[in-house]
Amino acid sequence: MNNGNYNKFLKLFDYFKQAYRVNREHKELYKPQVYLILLRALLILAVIFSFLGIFEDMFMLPDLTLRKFASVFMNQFVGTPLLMLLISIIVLLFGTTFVEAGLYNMYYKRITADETNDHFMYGATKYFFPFLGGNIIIGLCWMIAIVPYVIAGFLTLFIGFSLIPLIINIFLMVWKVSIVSDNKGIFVALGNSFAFGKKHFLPAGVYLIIVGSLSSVGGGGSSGSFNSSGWQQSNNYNGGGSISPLPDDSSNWFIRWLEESDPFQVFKTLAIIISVIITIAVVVSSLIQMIFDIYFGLVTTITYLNDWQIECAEEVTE
Amino acid sequence: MSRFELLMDDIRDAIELIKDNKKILVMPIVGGYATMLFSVITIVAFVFITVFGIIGTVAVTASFNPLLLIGIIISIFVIAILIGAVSLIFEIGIIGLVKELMDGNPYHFDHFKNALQQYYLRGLGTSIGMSFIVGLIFLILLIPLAIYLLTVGVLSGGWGMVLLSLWVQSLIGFWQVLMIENGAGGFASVGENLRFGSKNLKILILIFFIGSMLSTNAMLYFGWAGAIASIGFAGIVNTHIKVVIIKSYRRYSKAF
Repeated sequence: MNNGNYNKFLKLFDYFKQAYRVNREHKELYKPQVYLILLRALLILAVIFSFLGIFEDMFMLPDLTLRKFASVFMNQFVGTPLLMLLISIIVLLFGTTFVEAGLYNMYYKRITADETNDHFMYGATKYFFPFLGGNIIIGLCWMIAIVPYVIAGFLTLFIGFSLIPLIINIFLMVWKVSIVSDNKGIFVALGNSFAFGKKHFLPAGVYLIIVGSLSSVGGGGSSGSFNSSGWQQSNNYNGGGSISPLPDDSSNWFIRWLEESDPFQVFKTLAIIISVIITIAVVVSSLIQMIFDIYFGLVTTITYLNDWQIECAEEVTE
Repeated sequence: MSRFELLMDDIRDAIELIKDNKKILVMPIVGGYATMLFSVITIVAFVFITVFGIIGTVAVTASFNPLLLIGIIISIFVIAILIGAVSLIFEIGIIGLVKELMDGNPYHFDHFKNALQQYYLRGLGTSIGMSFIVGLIFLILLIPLAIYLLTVGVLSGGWGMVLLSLWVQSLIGFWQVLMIENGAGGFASVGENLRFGSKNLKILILIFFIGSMLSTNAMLYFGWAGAIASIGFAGIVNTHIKVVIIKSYRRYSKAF
């Protein structure tokens, strides 16, 4: 790292301090994320409970052929479960982008102490579609680049698999901030972000490594893993007689309960317990992740607004 | 200025101090690889001796001698103490280098040797004693710990375990630094660590969090090359963390 880059790296600590001050003074930044996390958790639970209701009816059938399975499933699925599923998919797909759009506007307004249109809904509605469009464009670029990426990953003896996304993230680090602060379109913002990444490549890389390192413990479970574990449970049970032989003199309440209960009730109870446990784990780890997201969102915004100027970083906020 | 902001200044000062005295990083990097190499050789040797010992015993006596199991357990303890003793050489020496640097004395390898001469034996004695005490506490608290793991650990998606480990580190994880900083005895430093740690828990948890997450995760971006480099990199990060801990201790401790 040459002297310029080294000084920029040291400047990061000023940005960390500024972000901390903004974070401490504006606790309202946490509200939208908290609501989204709780909403997602409730929707996941609602979908699981809806599906458990469907499976309950299917288990009541005397003989379970594929045709009956499909027919009962479709009859039960159309209605509340389908609605729940659709709402969940919409929230899972667009909720994060919606909240991010609102939050980036809040970051920008809080950092620049601009009180006009500084509320969440203003940013969420104004920047939702640019954020969504940008995400789709980046997603499409990734899909096109997936083959070269895999080849490059192998050619670099697997180092590229983790290094290439880091390099790409350096160039895409500030496009969301640029949309909000420069009030420009997606392509201009992506161009600004690319220029910023090119200009501050090394310090931005170090910053992203710090961000990635500090916020990567549990990472929180996704709804995908959540559902898959539920299915696993169901399949194991459906296999028939998969419960191990029980001791004759079972004094243990759990074993007695297993012996005496209807198989579906056992499955349903276990599925509910596991679902609730995983949902709580996802909520807690998402709440912790949120702290990092907001803090580093603020740092990224400050960094872009200051353009990593060595002398006048403090002037951005005060 | 808040404690967080002071910490950011401390980290920046640590980076600048070490940048101006890059030689100080040689021993943490060498120490990391040397300890790893020693650990690998010792463990591989132990596994070979154990496996061939068991095969030989069973072949001669046609049965598994229970005494062999006791031998294996004792050997594991001996190996752990050996590896700990080697890693402590570098730990004590590096703290000596860091302390002298922070006292304004320029880098000199003699500081490493002097720290070893003065503090190694008491550090080793305290380490062995602490291993037994911590092991005993661990056994006593095994059931509450298991409950914690299954409840808080699972429900927090792993963060509960991270917090527990940071809490332990903050309370008993830097007594070697305090021993050399204060020129005190081993167990007196453990007591001081507990006192200072419990009074400044939040900031210490944050310091250890930054240190452990950076040394564990930062090199993952560089694939297998990063995995190899991560041992040396952990040494670099830990040296910075030692500077930060001493700076925090000097600021917040009643003694200063």
